[in-house]
Amino acid sequence: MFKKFDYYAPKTLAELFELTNENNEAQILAGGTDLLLKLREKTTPHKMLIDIKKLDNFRGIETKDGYLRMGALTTIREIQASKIIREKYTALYDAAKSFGCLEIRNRATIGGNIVHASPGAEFGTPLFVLAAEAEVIGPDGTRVIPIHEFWQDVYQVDLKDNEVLAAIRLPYYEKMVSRYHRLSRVKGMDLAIVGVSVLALDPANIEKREVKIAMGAVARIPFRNKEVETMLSGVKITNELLVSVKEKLSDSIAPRSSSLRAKPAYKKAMVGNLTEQALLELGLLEEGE
Amino acid sequence: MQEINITVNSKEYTLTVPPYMSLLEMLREKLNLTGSKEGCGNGECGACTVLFDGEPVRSCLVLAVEADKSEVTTIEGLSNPDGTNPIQEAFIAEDAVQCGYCTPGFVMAVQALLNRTSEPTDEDIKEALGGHLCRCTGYEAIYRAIKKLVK
Ligand SMILES: Cc1cc2nc3c(=O)[nH]c(=O)nc-3n(C[C@H](O)[C@H](O)[C@H](O)COP(=O)(O)OP(=O)(O)OC[C@H]3O[C@@H](n4cnc5c(N)ncnc54)[C@H](O)[C@@H]3O)c2cc1C
Ligand code: FES
Ligand code: FES
Repeated sequence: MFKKFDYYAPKTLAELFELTNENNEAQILAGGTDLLLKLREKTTPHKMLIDIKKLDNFRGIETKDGYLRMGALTTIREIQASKIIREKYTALYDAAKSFGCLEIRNRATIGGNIVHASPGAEFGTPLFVLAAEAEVIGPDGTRVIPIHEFWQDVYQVDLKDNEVLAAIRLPYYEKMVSRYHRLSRVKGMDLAIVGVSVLALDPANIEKREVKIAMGAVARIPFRNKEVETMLSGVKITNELLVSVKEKLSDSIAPRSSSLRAKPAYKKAMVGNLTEQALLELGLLEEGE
Repeated sequence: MQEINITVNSKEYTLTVPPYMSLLEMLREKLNLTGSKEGCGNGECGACTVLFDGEPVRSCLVLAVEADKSEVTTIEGLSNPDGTNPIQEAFIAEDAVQCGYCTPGFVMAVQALLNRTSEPTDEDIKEALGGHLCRCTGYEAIYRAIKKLVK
């Protein structure tokens, strides 16, 4: 058995906000793959769970006024199966594919992954380079927040007690490619030791090309190195440039030494390799040098 | 306590359960369906795998109340009237069972795989089994059993 709690499954937004307004300590239940684990631990008391899965407002992947809206309840399996995500937002597909195992992917949601906000959360770096926004809904209406501002700290996001994450919005660019790679001790059933997402806008036009890189599990929240992005944007990416980029990336992070999964030195050595792998797959590296 | 209506192995039940009871506990303790096992209780081993509205999930990480108005299939629901099942037979033929604790979970994962496709690729098989732990067999025999079954 889990520790004792009450359970409600509201069917309308009005019911949801009535519950959240009256119960500051209530916890939102989505797929439960983080929350239910916590409820087994003896230390954390929980009084009330509010299951949002009966609400339709938070489901589905759809195109809307120039962006893709992904409901917070979209499961990792649905992301993996989505054609538009695989083709246009490939880093998200990569993240879904490396996530947990099939049974977990069937339950776990994108919303839960983001709100739980663990430093190595699979969707952290892909959403960062894709310039995603969090659509937050509360009794007073909707707020839209850039994803990197939504993450305030490890396990801490910009949500008031009576608000929930409704959806993720992804801007659409005609010419955009992206990849995500992670290292873990075992393939699948472990969180990332380190993860890297690389995105390029207008990849075939070297002068106009814009490159973005985000790293996960190396700091309290996903981290972008703007200096390195500038070095890589608008120029041919030669081997020589890559060497200094890898050095800069490594120098720019200071992973905590208490990490259970790898030593800081290993993470520092690996961010560059994952970046190189992604750049190579995206066809952004100059050949034959 | 909360009342739920749930279909398990094609039989309908109305049950009264505490909200903090897992689906696994409900199946084992309320319905006496003890085929699904608790290995880790943390979603990591796969021994508790059941089909929830047709898709494989970890029943240790689902609440019984979340399964209200849903359909659940457990290992007990897979056997033919004579008590056998092709996946089970394939496992026996290849010696893919030793202590057997993990087996119901593996069999459910394979059933879910076969429900998705009758011709799974090697990649599909590996994806289906990826989250299932077995301490005894070393996996080779399990993989072989599935390969033979789908050939
Ligand atoms: C075996 C196993 C393997 C895993 N593997 C991975 C992995 O490879 N990579 C990875 O990143 N994670 C992994 N996880 C962690 C977990 O599955 C993910 O973080 C998952 O995305 C959480 O989503 P959920 O829907 O299950 O969240 P829940 O557990 O339901 O919720 C998580 C937190 O977010 C809150 N919340 C959820 N949805 C909302 C919302 N819409 N609005 C407001 N608050 C909300 C909840 O209150 C809770 O605090 C794994 C977990 C397990 C058990
Ligand atoms: S008991 Fe559920 S996954 Fe191990
Ligand atoms: S047969 Fe013993 S754990 Fe798999």
